[in-house]
Amino acid sequence: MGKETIINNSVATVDSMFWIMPELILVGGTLLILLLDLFCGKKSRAALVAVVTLFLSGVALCLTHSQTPQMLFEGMIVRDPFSDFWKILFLIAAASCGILASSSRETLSPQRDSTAEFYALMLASTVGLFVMVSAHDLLIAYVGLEFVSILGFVLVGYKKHNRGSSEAALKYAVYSGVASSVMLYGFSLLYGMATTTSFTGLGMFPFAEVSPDVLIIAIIFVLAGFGYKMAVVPFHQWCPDVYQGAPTLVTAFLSVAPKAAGFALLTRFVWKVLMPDMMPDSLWLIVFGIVAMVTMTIGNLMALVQTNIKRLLAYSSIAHAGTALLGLLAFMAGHNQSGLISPEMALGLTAMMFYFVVYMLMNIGFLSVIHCVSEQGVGESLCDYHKLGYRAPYLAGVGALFLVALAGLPPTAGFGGKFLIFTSLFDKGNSFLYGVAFVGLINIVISLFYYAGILKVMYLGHPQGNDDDIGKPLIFDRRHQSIVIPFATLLLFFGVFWNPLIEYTERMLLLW
Amino acid sequence: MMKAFVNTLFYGLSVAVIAVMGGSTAAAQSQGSQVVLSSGHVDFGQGQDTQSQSIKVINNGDSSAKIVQVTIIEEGFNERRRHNNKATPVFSITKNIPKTINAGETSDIVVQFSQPQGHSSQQFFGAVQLKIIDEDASDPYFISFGLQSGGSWFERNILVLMLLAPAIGLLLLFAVPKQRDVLCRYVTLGASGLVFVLAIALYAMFDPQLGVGQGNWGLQFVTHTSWIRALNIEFFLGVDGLSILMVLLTAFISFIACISSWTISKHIRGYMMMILLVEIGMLGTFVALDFFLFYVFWEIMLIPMFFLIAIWGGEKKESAAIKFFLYGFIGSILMLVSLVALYFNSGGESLLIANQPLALIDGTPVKHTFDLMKLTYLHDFTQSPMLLGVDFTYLVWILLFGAFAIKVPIVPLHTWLPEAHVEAPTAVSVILAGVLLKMGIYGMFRLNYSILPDATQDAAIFVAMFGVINILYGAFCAFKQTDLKKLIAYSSVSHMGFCLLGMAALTNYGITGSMMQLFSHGIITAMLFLLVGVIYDRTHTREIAAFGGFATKMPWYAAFFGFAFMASLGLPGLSGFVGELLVFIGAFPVFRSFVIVAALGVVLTAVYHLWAMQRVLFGAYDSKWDSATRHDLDRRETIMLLPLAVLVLLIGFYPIVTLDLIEHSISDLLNFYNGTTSGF
Repeated sequence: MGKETIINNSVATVDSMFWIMPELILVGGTLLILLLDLFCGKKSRAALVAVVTLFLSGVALCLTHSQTPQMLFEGMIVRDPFSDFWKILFLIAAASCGILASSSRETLSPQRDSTAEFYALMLASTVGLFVMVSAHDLLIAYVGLEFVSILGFVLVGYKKHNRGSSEAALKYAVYSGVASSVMLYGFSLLYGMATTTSFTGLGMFPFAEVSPDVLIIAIIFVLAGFGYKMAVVPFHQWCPDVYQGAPTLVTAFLSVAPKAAGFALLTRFVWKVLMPDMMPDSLWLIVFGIVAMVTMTIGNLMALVQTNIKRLLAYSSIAHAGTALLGLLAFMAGHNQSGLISPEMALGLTAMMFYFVVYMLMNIGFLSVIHCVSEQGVGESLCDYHKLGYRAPYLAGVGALFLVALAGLPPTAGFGGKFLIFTSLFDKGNSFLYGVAFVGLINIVISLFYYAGILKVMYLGHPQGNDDDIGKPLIFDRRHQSIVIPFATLLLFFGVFWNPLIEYTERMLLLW
Repeated sequence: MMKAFVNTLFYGLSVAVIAVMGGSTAAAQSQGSQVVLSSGHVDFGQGQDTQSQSIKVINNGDSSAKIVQVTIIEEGFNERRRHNNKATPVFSITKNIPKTINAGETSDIVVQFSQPQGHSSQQFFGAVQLKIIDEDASDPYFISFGLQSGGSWFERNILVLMLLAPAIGLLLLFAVPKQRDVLCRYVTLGASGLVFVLAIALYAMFDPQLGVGQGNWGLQFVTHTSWIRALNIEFFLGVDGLSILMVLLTAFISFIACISSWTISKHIRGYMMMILLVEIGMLGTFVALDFFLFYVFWEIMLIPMFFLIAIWGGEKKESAAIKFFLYGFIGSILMLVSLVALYFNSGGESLLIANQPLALIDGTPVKHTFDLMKLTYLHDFTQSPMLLGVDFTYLVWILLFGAFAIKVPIVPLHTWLPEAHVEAPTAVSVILAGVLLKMGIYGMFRLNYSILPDATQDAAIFVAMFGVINILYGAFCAFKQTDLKKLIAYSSVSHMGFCLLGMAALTNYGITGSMMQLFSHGIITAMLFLLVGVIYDRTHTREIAAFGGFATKMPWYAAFFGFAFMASLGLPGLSGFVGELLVFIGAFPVFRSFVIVAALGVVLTAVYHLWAMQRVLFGAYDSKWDSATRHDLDRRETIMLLPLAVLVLLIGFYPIVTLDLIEHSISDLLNFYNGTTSGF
């Protein structure tokens, strides 16, 4: 990874515009939605414009896709297969939430009966996510991260005149402010040492020669900012309140996209900055391992005692973040001096990427089920789901499938994700990783209790009232079907045929 | 309308985009390799006599390539380290292979197949690997193709059909219109009936003379393709003597369970779907020969079973279902750990013959494998490095044993069983006792006994101990039960103890007895639970104390009841006796004192069986049952009980029907333990 290759791959600023076509389309779509809303009002069809924009952006992404990494804007932004992978993920997440939101009661602006603002925010935050996963400079990373966060506050607080929603938005803002400032401080320390903010520059700087105390503090501060986006312990406290208070579809989007972006950014940071110089003394391996173990355990243990289903899913998503972190851990453990991604490292990264695809399918899928139920006036407390299996057999049946996937049982892809993660850990023959994997396995068992608990409420049990009074049947409408059923089908498909998804992630692994 | 259109558009196009993207990236990667084959597979069809086929090697690159090494892999042939039988190879390459292939040139490889004497329709598998060095590239690479011969289409695919039949039934159930309960029942009955018919065909075509020495590891009806390439996982199904009885039992018991499900009326469609799913899981577990596939089938069965108990169960169904699920899941986690551990220790230094090539079925060279046959016959894990401070084989053995012990169940891990049995509906109890418990013992044979023989030998005494504890503890508990179903559940615990004692002995008689006991216990308990179901349908109670004097009121019922109880307590001439006798004969020379103590268990068994029978059939009759006992067995009940009774009688008098099937595989299994077993 000498200097020559960097020069070869960098693209002149004007030509860079070609490579950021997907982002430009998203920005254009955002502006178009706002303009249409201004002039056409109710008839603006914001949902349609948004979905078409997301789709066009996807087309542009694929057409400009290249196996060779491209350095854009003087190396500030990078376009490589790795970032393209996450971008596709964000587009699918945003589009599925967007399709559902077009008729949602939660996202209609009460005064004007229009969803335009919601879609504009959604598209804009997708742009922010794109920037995050493409960032190749501390400043750009910060800009992307903050962009996503600020739009996130608005989205979380979108339910007007709703105390829970506003409280969640405020909490999100406060936590985010603290995390960002800490991270910025870390950035400044790094800059102070290396006098550069570019990942390439940081990667080439001999950190071994500076004082390790300052360095460790700087890295930990930086990780705090990333950790806040990924919602790993101890930066997870915002997560339950925000997920509970936010409109359900925003929860679905937030629980997948920014988390994934955080992981992508962290992976790039680890690969570019930590690995070249700071990995040998396995300190960071141990730090990440402990964070992963604690995240899984706390997430799962807290989920056990929840009575609100969205809050429960918030804790479960924390636990899932911990599990995904194991993939990154395997990636780090395979580290060698060659500066290339060895097969051992690739296994960990493939596992993590596979896991995120599956996580997106099952988490958005299950939150869509929750959304469908709560749109029909059912509460969010666990006992409101009493006998759901009889009120809406098909909806609950698909929901049960998502729960089985979340618990990581075959024949769903949830099992595939977990299995790949654990094989990538065992592959390294490192006794610390065995220990981490052991904790992970115990956590699978713990997680089963609360997923089975939801199943139990849906199909059995009589917390109050008699058996006959199960409430009126619920409708599983077309719109929800159009998201939930393909997601469930994909989960089953990838659960049986892993090859296509594994091969796809392996191709998208090229990380600049 | 508009929105629906947008949705469809979005999905359709995003799939297209991802496909395009995948395609374009794939195209970008396919440079470098230059030599390709005209086909990835050579199939000799039914494989009569000697025949040869050719395959083309084409060099598409712009530089010449050199073939430096040709390896022929024959499944179950190259690997006879543990078996000294010399078998002649069936696949060979006749023509000299060109050493160098110039750019743009094409040349032929001719593979010859010669049918060995004796077994006309046996299947053979193999692969040819070519190691190639490009003129300019430094790294050699492999290209390979698979070889297959023998077996008609039906023989090659019968196991897949057996797994597909319930799956198709499941899909048909979705299509059944609402309120057509009877149709649901017939669809399920048809699907499991088809499996049963296929199982009879399987029995008819099974060649009991095939052993490991004849190649292809003595497997029959093999379906073998690659599945998940990233982890070397294969879709590998096959049957040998260890599994044939279990497959037959599963098909039979599931069919009977479907008949007995006729009385279910609550959410019939869901119930039938769950029954079919369980059937897929059970059949799959018995025919899977890839560890990963085995694990997946093992897991698949858990969730439908949970729902079957939880929704259609009795009063305390929730706690019973959750207990069953969690116990089962903990077992699965233990198995998962050993699965991963075995996988990563396979290949390399664990191989019996150093540097022996390890490959998938199409010849792709691999480092590790999940293939149970390769793990069994090619590997020796005794030299593997310590894991967490414990000897590798011991650790994996204990993990596997724990996973299976929960299913058997071995005391003290048995507490889920009585609860699950009592709460489950009749048909589910039948499946649970008839097949599910057998998966534990089968798993021990297939994994612990086959893959880790050294650890098994060291642990045999503990297995025997657990067996004796199971026999006595189960019998004592059965004494105290007032619920008829619980009594039978504990008698199952006791009977499973005999299997453990027999298998611990590591003698021919002991293991044969253990397998016989498995099979006959499957039939007998199924019968017992059906009989309890019959009386429960009429009286809505299972309290033994509430019954009495039924012999005079329901003579046919009493006849079957008495017959089943006699079979269960091990009356000579009925199937239960054969297994127990063989176990005792096999175990006595090895564990004298254990057998003597276990014999006490036989006495106890007789006592509690006879006592329960006496209280139900004879004694004072309570006239409140007049309406309940007005009808003796109806036609449906007779249809499901009679075949079981006939089978019990048949095996009791003529056990050769089943003994023949398993004989060869058991002596193959015992080959691992040669030299230490006494002369049996």
